[in-house]
Amino acid sequence: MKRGQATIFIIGGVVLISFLVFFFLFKGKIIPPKLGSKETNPNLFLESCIEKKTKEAIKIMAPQGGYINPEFSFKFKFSDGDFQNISYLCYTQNYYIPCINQEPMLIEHLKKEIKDYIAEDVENCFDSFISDLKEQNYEVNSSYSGFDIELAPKKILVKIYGEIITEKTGETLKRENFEVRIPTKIYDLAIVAQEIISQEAEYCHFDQVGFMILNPKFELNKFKTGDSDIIYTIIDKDSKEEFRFAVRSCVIPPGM
Amino acid sequence: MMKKNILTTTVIFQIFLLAITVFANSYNLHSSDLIPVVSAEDSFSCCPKTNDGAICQDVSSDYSNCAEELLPTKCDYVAKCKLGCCIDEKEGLCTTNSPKGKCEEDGGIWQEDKNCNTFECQKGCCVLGEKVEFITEDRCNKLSLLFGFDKDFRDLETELECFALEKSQPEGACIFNGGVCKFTTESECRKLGGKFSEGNLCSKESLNTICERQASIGCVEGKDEIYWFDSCGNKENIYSSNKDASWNNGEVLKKEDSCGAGSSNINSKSCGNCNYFLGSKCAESSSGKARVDDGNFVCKNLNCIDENGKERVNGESWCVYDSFIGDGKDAVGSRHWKRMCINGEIKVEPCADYRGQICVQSNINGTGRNFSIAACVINEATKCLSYNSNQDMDSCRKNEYCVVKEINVDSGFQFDVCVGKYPKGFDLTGEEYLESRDMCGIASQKCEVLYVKDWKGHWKCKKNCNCESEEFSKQMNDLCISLGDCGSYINYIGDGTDNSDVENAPEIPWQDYKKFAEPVKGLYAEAKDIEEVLEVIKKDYRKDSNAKGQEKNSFAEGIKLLGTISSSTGSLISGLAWAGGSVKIIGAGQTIPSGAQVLGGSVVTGPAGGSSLVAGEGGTLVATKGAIGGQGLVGTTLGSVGAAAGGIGIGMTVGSFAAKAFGIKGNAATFLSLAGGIAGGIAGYGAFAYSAASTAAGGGAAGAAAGSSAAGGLGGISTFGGSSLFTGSFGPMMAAFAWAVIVVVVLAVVIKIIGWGDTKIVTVQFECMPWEAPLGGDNCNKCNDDPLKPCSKYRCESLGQACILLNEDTENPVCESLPKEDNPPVISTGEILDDLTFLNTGESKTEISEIGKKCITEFKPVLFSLNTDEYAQCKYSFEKTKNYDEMEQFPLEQNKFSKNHTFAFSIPSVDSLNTYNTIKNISEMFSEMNMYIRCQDVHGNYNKDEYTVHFCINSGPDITPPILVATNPKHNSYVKYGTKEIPAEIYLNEPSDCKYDTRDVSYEAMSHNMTCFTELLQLTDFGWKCSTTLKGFDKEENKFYIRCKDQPWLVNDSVKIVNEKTNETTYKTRNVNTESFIFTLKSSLNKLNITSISPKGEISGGFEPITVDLEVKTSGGANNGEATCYYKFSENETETLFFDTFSNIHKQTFNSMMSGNYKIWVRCEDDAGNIAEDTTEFELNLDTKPPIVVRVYSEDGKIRLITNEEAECYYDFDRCNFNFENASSMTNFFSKEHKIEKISGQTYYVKCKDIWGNYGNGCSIIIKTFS
Repeated sequence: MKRGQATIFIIGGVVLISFLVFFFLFKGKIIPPKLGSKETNPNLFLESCIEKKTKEAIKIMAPQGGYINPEFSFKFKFSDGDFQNISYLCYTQNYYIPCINQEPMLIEHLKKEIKDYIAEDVENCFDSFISDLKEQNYEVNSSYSGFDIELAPKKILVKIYGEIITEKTGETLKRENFEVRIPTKIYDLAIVAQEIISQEAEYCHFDQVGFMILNPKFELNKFKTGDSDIIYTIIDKDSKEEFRFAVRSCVIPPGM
Repeated sequence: MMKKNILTTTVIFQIFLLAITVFANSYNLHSSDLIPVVSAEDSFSCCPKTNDGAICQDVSSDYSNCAEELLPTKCDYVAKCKLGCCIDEKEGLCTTNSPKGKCEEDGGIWQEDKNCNTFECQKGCCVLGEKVEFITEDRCNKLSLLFGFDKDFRDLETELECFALEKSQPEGACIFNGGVCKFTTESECRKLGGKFSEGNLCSKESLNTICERQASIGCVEGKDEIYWFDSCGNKENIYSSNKDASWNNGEVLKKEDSCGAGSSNINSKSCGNCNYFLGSKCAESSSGKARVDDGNFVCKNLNCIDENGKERVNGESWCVYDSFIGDGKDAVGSRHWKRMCINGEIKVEPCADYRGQICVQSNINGTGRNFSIAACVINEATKCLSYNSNQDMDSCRKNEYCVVKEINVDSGFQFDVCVGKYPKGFDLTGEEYLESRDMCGIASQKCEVLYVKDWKGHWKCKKNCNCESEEFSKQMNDLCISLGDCGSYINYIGDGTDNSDVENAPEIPWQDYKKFAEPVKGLYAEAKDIEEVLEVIKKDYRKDSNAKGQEKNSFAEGIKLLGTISSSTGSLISGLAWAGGSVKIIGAGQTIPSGAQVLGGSVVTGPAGGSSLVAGEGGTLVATKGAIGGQGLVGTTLGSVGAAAGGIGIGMTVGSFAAKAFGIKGNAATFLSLAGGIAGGIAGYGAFAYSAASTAAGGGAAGAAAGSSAAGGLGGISTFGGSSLFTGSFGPMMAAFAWAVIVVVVLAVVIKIIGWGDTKIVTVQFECMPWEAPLGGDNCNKCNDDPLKPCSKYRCESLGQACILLNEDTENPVCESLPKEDNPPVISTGEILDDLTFLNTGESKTEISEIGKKCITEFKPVLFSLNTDEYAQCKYSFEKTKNYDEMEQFPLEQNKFSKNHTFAFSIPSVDSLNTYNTIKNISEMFSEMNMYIRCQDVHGNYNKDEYTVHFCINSGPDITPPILVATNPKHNSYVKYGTKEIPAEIYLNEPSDCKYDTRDVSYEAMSHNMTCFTELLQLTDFGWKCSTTLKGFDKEENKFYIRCKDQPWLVNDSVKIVNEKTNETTYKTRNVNTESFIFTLKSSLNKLNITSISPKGEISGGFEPITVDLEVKTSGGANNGEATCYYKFSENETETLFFDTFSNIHKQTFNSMMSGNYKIWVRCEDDAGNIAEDTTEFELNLDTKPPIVVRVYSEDGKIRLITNEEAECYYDFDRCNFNFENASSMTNFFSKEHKIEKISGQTYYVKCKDIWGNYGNGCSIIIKTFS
């Protein structure tokens, strides 16, 4: 064996011993490397768990004027889909007069609808995350105190209030209040809807051309039914997400 | 006693039909109803939530679909339904017309101004890095926070200005450590913590970044152009295949300095300077052929090619029509369409169906090309009718959407009517048929043509002769069409039907209008001005929506007016006495000089519209002239001439009396007078000559005396008297008289035999009915032809009776025909009045009789219906016909296709008809009467064999007293305050004499006679009319007792009749009411007063437009102040109905007022006609001044500030340019007083802002305290 080779072996040995010493010295305090994975990262876990349900809610609501179960609506079928209940967001049953805003706090309403729809799932997701952790031999102490929804441009934020304390091999970790971001344009579409409603309620009219010229990222379709209802469909050109609602305003009857 | 006219069978049937008209008009009034004078507005209730889920809806008080308790007031007076502005503070969003309850329930802040013209909701330009948004300041705060920018909110007024700002944001390289670079705006760079190098690209060599120039090309979100990108992915300058030119030495190159500036560069290979406003935008190339040299991108063409092959620029909009438009000739089923070119795609906006909206277009001439802007605006056709109420044709002509229809058929039949230039469409299903019928009925007019028989016995037309020509029918049908979907006209594909009926003039077939089915290229409805279109686009639709209240109201006015036109035209013509003095024709301004005046050599002006000068009197005048002529000769001519003149006078007088006695009029009467005069003259001359020859004495004196005594009205008679008195030569005058009598009587007999001078009125009648679609359904699918003109119910139903719209609740409804079948409708009996019954009903016949009687009592209203087993149109006649088209009369439903068909008539008594000379035996005719009916279904199948309704009319004596049908004013209605007497009318079911009294006494004892129409043909729409002036209004409730006596043609109350064959004696007795009709009218106890009007004085607003609520309160009058109020902004303009009225609080919101001085005239009127008027003046000021601190003092350890207006004051210890959000407030809400704890030795930088958000640039005041 040459001298050089011996030196390399010695250095290697020192490194190995050092590593082992270091490992045994601090092994009880090290956070498991698994934390970045879905199984142990609550945000990632909850996001994957809640996103589907939230998107489902949006998919149901958006073509129905923002209602999961439309109450004040009518059935209508567009050629590219099935019959849908389209809610009136602004309505008057009288002739000539502007419509009355049926959902003046539209954003609040959307939050409530989504929240109600996913409420059970959020708690279930939280619980299944805890179960998963337990299955991974973590000792878990948790509490769930509900959640909130925030709508924002291009996203929905689901803020889950709760606390999770995990312990495994002597290591404890406390995490609280989780936030899930779900990309969607529902908020952006709803803001446009609210502007349309405001103008219909004030001026009996919304100018489609002006809007589309100034806001080319949206496509706005305006359809007048035989009953003088107007169905607005706002489409986000990038995501192809749609929001559809009906307005009945300043209806002019036949004859004089 | 009635005059005896000859009545033919046809005329008798016409009397039935007149009676039917009565029913047609009162059909919707129940028999107990009285004539409505003022149509009362339906009372509103508020439904907080309907069963469907709609919140806060104003509904009628009998609404049954309300999920909550119906509140007996308008929603605006219900706290939770009051409409206002709902502010979402968290989002910084404002929503208009929001119910208070719903807003607050969901966490919003509610404010009164329903249009959100409030400080919190004012929009401005919010700069968010590279982007801008036109939003409220609160929303700007939220978004700035969300995206991590400092708030940059700019007070710009329009969205366009804001977007222009986006383009002007300076950009540059944002450099970070290690040569990392991002091309962005300064604010974004600041946010990211980089070093900003304005105007430079990241690839600029001197910046020493890691980014290499022009590595790729692509599109940028929110930008139009194709850009170069550097190796770091940063946007560089606009693409040009000339790389160096595009790179511009690493400096930003402005769009206007880039390649191809000012053009769209569509499909250019070398230049990516696309221009959205010129119709191009960066896009990935789909074909691969059209792409720039350095990548798969292209300036995509966003322009469109319209239906005529014309290129339309992106953003351009234009109007498309189905048929000819304007001049009141829009075709049935036609619609106005707005088309738009948006991003290369043509989109369609149908204007409201039934032409509730019209498409107006304005063209803007740009550089080298036109750019058109179109808008769907409210059709003001209803408003046009309102101009007729005060014959305001000037306003009509000034209104672009109205047109004056000038009816000028003849001198006695001319009038102007203001109608919609683009008539509105009617519901064709028949559901609104009565409304359509009333509207079309405006053009149902009569023209009375006067005929006079000449000496040869030929009838010669003298007046309104053109009414019998095609011109009458044409002009009237044009008017009819312009009222809506009425008359003989076409649908939008050029198919049509005849829905007018012309009597005594040629019909106008719908085929004459086929040419109007084609739209005229280049013809479009012009906006009143470009501002109107822009207003719509700028969302200012308020004027129109406000105008609707007026439109709705003006409808009644229009109807009222046109009714007046109708009746005045008829009545003025019927009022003509052909031989009378000159007759002033109201509206026509024509006079007809009578033959008598011409002959008399002078012009006599008769009373306006008068008919008092009759032929006989005309003759008298001529006679007088003759006598005076005789006087002129006295003393200068020989006695024989004087005697001749006297004889002429006598003869003419005799002629005149004979004309009267024989009932001879006009030229014949003049002729008779002249003939008498000539005979008298010759006889007088001859007798005098004979007398002179035989006595040879006193010759000249007789004539002189004769002439000199001629004076006064009856010249001839005086002359005669004079002769006898002064001369004693009685013979010549007697001879003249005798000869004149002989000649005149002979001539009169001859004239009577040949009928010379007889007159007759031919009534030319135009009936305008609602338009009905053609039979069948062959053309239904034409509605489905054009995807850019989607079918609608109205369009579909206009194409055929058998057309129905399927899949109405889908995007593509389809118009299809009902299956064709060949069976005619099966007719069966329907309903009938309680005291009548159907008998012996068979497959195609039935009989009607009065219960318990064989026949129907005379004058008894008969009302029954027949049913068909399918939708059908029915007709009837009293004589047999060969086919459906030969039948002329429609039931009450007119030409409507329905399953129920109502027939109504009332048949006069035999006695009443016997007062006329009839050519048939009335009793015989009445004993066997048949009504023949045929119905035709939507496919045109009709009954070959008529359905027969058999009945008979009681031919015995009339034993029923008259019945009161209606009154005007309405029974139990209010009369004006202070009324002592009013004209009143009652209507009876048969001709009668009537009286009234304020005591309930017998007919004979009643003290006030009424003036009654007692002739059979004087039947009005509501029956036979009696009129009077009611006196004795001295109580709150005034009762008038009315009793009538029928058969006015009987001279005595009871007439003995002996049957010549049987010698049987019967009595005809006039029937008298034994019980009075009680007609009650209530007095208004007080005047109607306007108790308050607001606003008054000075009003301030922080920005324009300013919302002003006009509120008027009324009290007193007929019904505790309940009234209808109108307003106007200048004395001479037409009034507009308040938006909220028909109560004692009247409200109108003006939401687009600008600063200035205003005066508003208000007029209120209640049901009784009490009127209250007032004005209000106010000044709208725009408050743009910041509040001023007028006093500062220290008290109780506090610094106190007083401002000159209500304000909020904030302070900071360091500087004046602080943000209000971060500063401390000195004020509890808005106040003039502000305070803060005093700290010695401290400097307070105080800034105040008023309720409109006005604040100064620096501090309002700086306060230093000393220890």
